[in-house]
Amino acid sequence: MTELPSTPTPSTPAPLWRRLLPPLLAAALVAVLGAALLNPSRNATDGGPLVGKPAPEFTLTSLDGTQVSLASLRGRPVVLNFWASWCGPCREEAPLFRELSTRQSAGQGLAVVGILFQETNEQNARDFIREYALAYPSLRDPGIQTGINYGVSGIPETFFIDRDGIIRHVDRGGLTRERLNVGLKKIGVAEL
Amino acid sequence: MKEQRTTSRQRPEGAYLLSSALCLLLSASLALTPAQEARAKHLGSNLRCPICTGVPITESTNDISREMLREVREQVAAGRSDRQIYDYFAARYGNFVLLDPPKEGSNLLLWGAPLAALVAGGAVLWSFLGSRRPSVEATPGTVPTPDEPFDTYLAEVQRHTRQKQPQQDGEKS
Amino acid sequence: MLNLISFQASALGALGQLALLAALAFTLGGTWLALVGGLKADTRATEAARRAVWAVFALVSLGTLTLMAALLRDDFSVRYVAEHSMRASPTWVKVTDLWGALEGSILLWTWLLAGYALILSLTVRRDALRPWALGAMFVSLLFFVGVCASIASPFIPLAQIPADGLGPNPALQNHWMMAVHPVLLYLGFVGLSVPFAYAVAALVTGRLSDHWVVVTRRWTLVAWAFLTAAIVAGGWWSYETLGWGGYWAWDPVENASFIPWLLTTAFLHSVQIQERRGLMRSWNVWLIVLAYASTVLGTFLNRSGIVQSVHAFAGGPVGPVFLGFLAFLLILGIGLAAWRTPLLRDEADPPAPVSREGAFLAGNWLFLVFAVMVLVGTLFPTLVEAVQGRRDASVGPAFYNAFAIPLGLGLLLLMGVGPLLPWRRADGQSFWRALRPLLLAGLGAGLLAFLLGVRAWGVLGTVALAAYNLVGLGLLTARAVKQRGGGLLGLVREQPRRYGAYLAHVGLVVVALGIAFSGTYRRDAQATLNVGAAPVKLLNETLTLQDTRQVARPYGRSTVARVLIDGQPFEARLNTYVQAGGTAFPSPAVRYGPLGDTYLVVTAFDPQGRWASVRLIESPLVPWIWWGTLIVVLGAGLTLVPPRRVTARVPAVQTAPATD
Repeated sequence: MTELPSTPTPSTPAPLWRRLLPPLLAAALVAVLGAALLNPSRNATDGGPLVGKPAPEFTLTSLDGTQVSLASLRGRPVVLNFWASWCGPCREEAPLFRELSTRQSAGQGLAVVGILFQETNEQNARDFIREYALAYPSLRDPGIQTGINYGVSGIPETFFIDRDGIIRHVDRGGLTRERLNVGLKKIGVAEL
Repeated sequence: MKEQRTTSRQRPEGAYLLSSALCLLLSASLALTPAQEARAKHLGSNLRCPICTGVPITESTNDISREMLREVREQVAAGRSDRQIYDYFAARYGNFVLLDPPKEGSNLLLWGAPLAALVAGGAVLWSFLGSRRPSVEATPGTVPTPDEPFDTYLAEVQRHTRQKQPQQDGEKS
Repeated sequence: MLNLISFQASALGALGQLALLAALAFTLGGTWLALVGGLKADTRATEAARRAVWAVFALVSLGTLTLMAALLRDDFSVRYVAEHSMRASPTWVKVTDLWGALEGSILLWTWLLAGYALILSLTVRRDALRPWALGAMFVSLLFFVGVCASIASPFIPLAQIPADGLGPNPALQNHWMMAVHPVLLYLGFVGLSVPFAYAVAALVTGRLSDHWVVVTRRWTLVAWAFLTAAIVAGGWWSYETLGWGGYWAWDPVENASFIPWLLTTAFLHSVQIQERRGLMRSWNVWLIVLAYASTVLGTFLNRSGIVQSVHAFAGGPVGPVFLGFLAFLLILGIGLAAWRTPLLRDEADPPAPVSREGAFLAGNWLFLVFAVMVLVGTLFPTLVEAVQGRRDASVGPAFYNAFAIPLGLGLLLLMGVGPLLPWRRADGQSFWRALRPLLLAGLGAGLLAFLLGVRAWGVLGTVALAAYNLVGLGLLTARAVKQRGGGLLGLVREQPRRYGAYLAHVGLVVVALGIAFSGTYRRDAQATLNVGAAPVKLLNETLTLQDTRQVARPYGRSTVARVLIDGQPFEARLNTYVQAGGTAFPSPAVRYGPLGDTYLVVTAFDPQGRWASVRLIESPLVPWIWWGTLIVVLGAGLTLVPPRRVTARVPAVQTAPATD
């Protein structure tokens, strides 16, 4: 019954900004969604809030019973690898760590340290170390305390700590030679 | 479904059930007062499990959440403030784990947006309702419109309105 | 180029794919015919477009039935069946597989859309709006039929036919609610396409008729009722199967279904202003466009994988396509609205602040702020990610609750005022007099709750406003009954719309009480129980573990823990499914009581059956949410019942002749 007249009403039109506001908001919404969709950064394998910060201290016991603390390694570049025997990608990057461990040297040289993350069977971990001939200590981390202190949620995760004890690089997921070299370069260690 | 696994990183699978039960017993050993317990629970409910999809550590059954909760309880027992505890986790896992984003920095955008919408909407509504021409008061009801079915209670209210409205059937559906 | 059809590989797959491609052809034809019909005012073209809808519906139905048949017959030559079903599943799971994964869910969506289009084609009036309403419906159909006939086709041939399928998502087979919730949700989401089509038609033609108001209101109400039921059904599913004893977690996908609900609720109220007073015409069109766009936004969020959610489908190729459709809808809707709304401008003055219109508008304001809040909270992490390049923000319940509680209380406050106020205007004094009993009741109830020990302000507010609302509705109804005589039933029959709305409001009050109490007074505790050990005290209950046993089924295994809680047997399960390895899905044992639930989940068990770790959760008034929703939906249904004609006492309505 109230068919509208198709003539515009005489009232004043809305100001320009008000007419532009809805299209602008809509465009911004679509742009944000598009940006999030097109560059999925959530799969980033490096970086994190700890980069550039001093590496959290730890003193832990290795599988063969010796105590290792980060403080005792001060002055040396450290590659710190969180791993476990049940973790598939850890197995894939293990040969790289074997190779890296041969580059360790006392004094000012590189140190490699492994920390077990939620290891469910220590014998499996020992077998793993023997299988890949890993010539560096792997430390027990009861209650994941050090893991949480390093913000580790899944493994493998590798921290590259420079001579001053500052974390320079973090890599998540299985390392490749290139990704390992990126980290080594940042802590002043010759590339593999 | 709650656990979102990325392809390259892993967590133990079969180990969950057994070890989590043991950890449960371990974590319960730390004695907290009821007030501290409630605080730890509250803090935990605002910390996101880093490997789940949007689940706080209090609702997640995996080991990392349980250990994070233990860490929270220890820090509560050690008398650290809420802010210090949140900062501790944010410094390690990123702001990503803060389910209750602190009201600062870019988060002000988040917290301010609903308030801005409330104020802006209120202003629009106010100016819209305020744009009535005063002449309406004098000449009401130029266009007859269907009204409510008769109702004494409404009529009591309507009696005081200046305009006597025709009683009509409002059911037009 | 996609290889879409292979007759050798799969007969059923080819049939389904052909049906979808034919449907696409008819959709294209129909879109063109509707356009011609609209532009040239050619009724023959419009009529042809109308019939094209029937063909599209028949063909999409054929495609859907083909997929269903393939699922039920375990025909693994069909890709979707091979990827998302398996022989061992029980039949009901095979049926729900139809919407258990991305392609099938889009096909179901398309089918429902075609169904709604069919109903529209049968009911739409022969007026200037008709070709454009059909055309807008065809545009939606074009997108969905196009997507499910190409990139998200369930029928794309497989290189190799497997002996058995990969099986459904185990979380979806864990509870029968999965057979109900998605269908209801799609009925709600897709239902909004019809009011959207009418809105587009109104914008293109610059005409709104009385008929427009009535049909959009009714269609929106239908969609709204489905949406309400679906959201709560989803909460129920979450409660019964995720094992955390909650029903709503402000998860992005949950939020995405809530935003359209908020917008449609706002529309259902403001459209009444248009119905009674002829005001807010362009506003209502805007709301519909936004509500429909928000359903597409929700679907995009759900299917693109850009938000982290418990409910999201894995990201697929459809993300960009849905974003494109969302952008198109927003451009189309906002462009049309910006261009044409001057034609829909109200001639009369805005309503008075103290009037029913004023209350509805204030409600609209709060509903929109609510929607903005939920939208911002949902998208903020994505925004941060887009700016910073990494995921560095989360928004949890703390944020949402901080706003949802005051906004919800504000809405409850307005909900009580609305029905009390007359249309047009009320003067302050009489309004105050009418409001007084409500305020007294609210104050009394709040005080009583306080004396009984309630201290949380959100709960106190809800209790007070619940009493205030119920007393208000009760007084209005009682006085109307007294005035009319002849009992409540006759009154309801005469004015189903009003009393349906009252009933829906009562339902919402019940839901609000359920949410307030269960959210605030939930208690949980964990313990490890040993078989044969002394009973364990937990939350004022005594728990005894009787035994645990394993139940093997072709599709998985259940570990059942039998626990006596205060003498009553509870059987909580932990299910594993063959397609999901060692991941366990809890199936809690819940005992619903009128005032609260006892909820028992097994979190871990001993393989030797000596102990089980359990979590006991007690939440007051949870069932009130489910029952309240039932009342809301019944109320919504009642408003759609045609009123019994009223005799004598009410003078005939004088109306202008219908011109549409």
